[in-house]
Amino acid sequence: MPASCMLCPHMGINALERELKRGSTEVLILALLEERDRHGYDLARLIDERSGGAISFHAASLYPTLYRMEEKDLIEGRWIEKAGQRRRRYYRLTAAGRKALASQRNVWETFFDALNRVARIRHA
Amino acid sequence: MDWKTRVRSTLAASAPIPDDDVIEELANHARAMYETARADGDSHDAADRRVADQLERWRFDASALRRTSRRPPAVTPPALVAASHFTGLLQEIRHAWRMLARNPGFTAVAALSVALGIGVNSALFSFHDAILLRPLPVLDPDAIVTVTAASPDDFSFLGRLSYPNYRDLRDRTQSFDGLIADQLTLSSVARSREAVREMRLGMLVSGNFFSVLGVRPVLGRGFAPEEDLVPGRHPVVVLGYDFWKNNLAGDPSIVNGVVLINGIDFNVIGVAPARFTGMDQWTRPAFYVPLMMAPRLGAAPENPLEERALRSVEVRGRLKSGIKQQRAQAELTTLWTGLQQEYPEANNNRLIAVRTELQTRIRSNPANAIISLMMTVLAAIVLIIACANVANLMLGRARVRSREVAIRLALGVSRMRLLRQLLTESLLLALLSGALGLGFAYGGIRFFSSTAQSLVPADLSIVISPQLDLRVVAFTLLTAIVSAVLFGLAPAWQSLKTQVVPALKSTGLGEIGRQRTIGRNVLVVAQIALSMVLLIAVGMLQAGFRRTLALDPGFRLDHLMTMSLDTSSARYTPVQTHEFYRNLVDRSRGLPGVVSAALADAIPLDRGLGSRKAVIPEGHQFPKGQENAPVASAIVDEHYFDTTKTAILRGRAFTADDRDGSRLVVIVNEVFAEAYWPNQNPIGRRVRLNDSQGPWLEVVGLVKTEKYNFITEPPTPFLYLPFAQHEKPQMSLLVESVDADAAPLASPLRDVVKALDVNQPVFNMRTFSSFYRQQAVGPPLLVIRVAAAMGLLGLTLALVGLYGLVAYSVARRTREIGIRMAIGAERSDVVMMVLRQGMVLAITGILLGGVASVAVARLLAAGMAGLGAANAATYIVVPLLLISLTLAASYFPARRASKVDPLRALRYE
Repeated sequence: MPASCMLCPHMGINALERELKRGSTEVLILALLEERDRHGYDLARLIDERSGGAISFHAASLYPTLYRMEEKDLIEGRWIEKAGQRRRRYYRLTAAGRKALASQRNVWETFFDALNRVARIRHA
Repeated sequence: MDWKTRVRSTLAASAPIPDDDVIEELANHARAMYETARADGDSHDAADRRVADQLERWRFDASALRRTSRRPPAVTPPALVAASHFTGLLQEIRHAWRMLARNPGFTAVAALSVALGIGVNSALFSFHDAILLRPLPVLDPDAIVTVTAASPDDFSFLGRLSYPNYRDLRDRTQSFDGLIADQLTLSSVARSREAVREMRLGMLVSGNFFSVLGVRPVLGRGFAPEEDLVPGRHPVVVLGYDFWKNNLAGDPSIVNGVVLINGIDFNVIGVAPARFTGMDQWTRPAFYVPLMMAPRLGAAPENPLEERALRSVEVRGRLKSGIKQQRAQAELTTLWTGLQQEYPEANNNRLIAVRTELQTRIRSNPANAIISLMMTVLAAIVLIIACANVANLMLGRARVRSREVAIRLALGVSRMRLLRQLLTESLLLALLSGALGLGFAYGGIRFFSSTAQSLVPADLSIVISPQLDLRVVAFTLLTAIVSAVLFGLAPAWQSLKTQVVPALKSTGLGEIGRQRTIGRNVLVVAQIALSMVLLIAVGMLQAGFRRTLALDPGFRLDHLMTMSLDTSSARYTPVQTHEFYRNLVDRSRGLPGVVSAALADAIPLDRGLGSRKAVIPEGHQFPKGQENAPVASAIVDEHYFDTTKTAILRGRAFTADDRDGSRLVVIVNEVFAEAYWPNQNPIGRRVRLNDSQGPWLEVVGLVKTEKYNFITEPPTPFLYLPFAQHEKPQMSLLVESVDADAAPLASPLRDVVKALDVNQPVFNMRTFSSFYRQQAVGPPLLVIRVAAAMGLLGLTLALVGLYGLVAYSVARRTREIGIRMAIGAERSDVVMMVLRQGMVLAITGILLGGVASVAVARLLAAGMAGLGAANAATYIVVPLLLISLTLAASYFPARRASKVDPLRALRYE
């Protein structure tokens, strides 16, 4: 398939979606953990719910992302046992994660701003 | 198959297989997915398909499912889990706080109501604690029990043991870590020979006293075992902390120094710690000396420690760990049976008993226990009324709350969680009230301690010490929690019964509303009934107190000065004692302004139970098993009846001819004569003292019955013995003055004693009228004041409750009232309608309260001798008072109702 095919509309949107999703995954997780500590299923469900299904987060990429973020020390996971319940692994924001969230929010804001100015995506 | 196994088998083919805790995490995720799908209405198959899809995606990406972090998989320690629970609780408390802060009016009224209730209870608790409940200030007080051996007809010493019996039990028992013996003693204490001698209460104690109690002196040491072996050999003393602090200026160099007790040099070996205040609730002993010093201190002719029949020591023991009271009782009973067989004369007809400290205190002072119980009941009633008020306010708010509750229920909050939330709110409110209540309690305690302290003689070391300590704080906390349940549970329960849909839809109250009003009516009726009970009780006390004041004590109150002396504190011989008192009376009579002077071993109303003597009246048949009767008595001289103006009805008073060696005589009162020789002339009859071997005494006089121990006591048999035939070292002098106010005689009388013997201390110097006020008027007045305060408080709270309910129902019926007025009702009709509502509640409450107060009145009458039945006036005045006050409380809402503008009321909804 020729390279120009990248420009074919259908593929273009798919690719954008994929890129956006990958890039946005971290900021979504960080933002949700900013509210409170959560476990993996909770995160997946909330992303799905709050985006009204628009960002249906495939859990396949959730856990690898979580583990990667944990390795980068942005979040910290720990097993918590509550009385009468199974133990679950809860994640919480580290100080580094909090910083990363702030700077990523900044990046996204600049990006949307720029996008808006160029493409008038939002009604200002 | 469980979820973990399923995840593991899905990922089995991939390499490497993810770690165990990754698998567990994924399994949790899969399970949650499945459960959510099912909850959303998916069939098992559909839900399972979703999970299978998810598992497939994981398998596809298995290589990324690895935790590369070196950190070990952390399991949160329990402390952190608790912390997370704590965070939840904190959240609930924050929510509750917001709810309370949003309604500051409600919160203030509710908190104040309950705070008053709690304050009353806490203040009273501190008082009960001071007189009854506070444990002994020793190590592990629960293990300490008292050992008594009382005969059924023995009221005098409450089952004290003789020293030889104590010693035998101590040496033979296996149940105790130690048995101790102690005995109060009134002795003169001085820092040096030159210093003024003061009478102080101290304790004679067994050598193991401090070690068994686990009390370590704050300075110096306790007694060594050998210091309590040989009578009179070791004059060593441990000083009481208060005495050391107040009278010796807390001088630490006093240890190894000397103090004089009854004129004997005692080496100070230690100072007891501040928290060790002695072995009963009242006395703060100034000193502790070995029991072996008793013979020397008392200058007794023979050794009291070897008299098996002389029951003088109180015995306590520390139970060995694991030994129960019953077992100790069983063992001592066996030992005691042995002692009875060995010494039948001394020990016959006595039962040994092992009791806890509280049991002992109740037994030794049942009146206090009953008053305590009665006041507790009254205070509890006040608290219940206060809680009913708050419950009522909360039920009133339930209408607003039912929407909130419905919304939260609709949002999926569990009812259990909601109940917890509502109760947290109540608890927070109660704790707020508790904190406020502690403030009220503090005021009450200050009042109690100042009033109570004024009821005991100031010059002896007797202290009634209600205080705001940790026990009171703990009690307050407990009371607060109980109140939270009392006022919180019903409204919370009510809120939980909220039906989601109707509550969200309706603006009116509907069925639930009506039920709630019924609940609130019941509460107000109960409040009025309870205040009725309270007021009747107060009325009874008031009436009883009036009667008490009007009672004729049988002796004069004015013109009399009294003081006490104890020649044993200067170690007089009997001859010296005789001389001293003869000179004292003679010289006192010679003072200007003195009409007469008399001796008595105790002044009226100050005669302890110790004055009871075993008596066998001639010709009287006792029931089987009883050999004699305990009769209260006094030893008086020949001037006594004249000085106190006690009327001689028949025969004569004692004379100077009734002396040692002459015919033994006795004077009895009317009740005694009537009890044992009904309708006969008692003059010339005889009584035997002590037992069938005792001497015969001839009755020479019959006197009017007076009050002997308490002003409220029923007519009591009593007998008088002549001082000359029963001389004893501790006597009181009663001096009649020309003037009604005898106080100016104090200093000349002191001078008389000083002139006779400079080393002879005087104590309890006071006019008889001031003593009477203290003894007879003070305690009932205190009880009355407290009860009246509680009655007033209960009434106020109940009226607030009634007002709140009527006002609430007027507000709720605004529309109805508007319609009535629109179709022609007069304003007066509306006023009547609202008043009627208040009246129905009030009268129902009064009727129920009337029934209840009959029962309470019985309890009161049984508890306080002399109180009698409530007079009819109480039963008329209290309901009238309640009716007029409830009328007033409903009048204001009624007037507001009558001003309702029909048009506006109808437009409102």
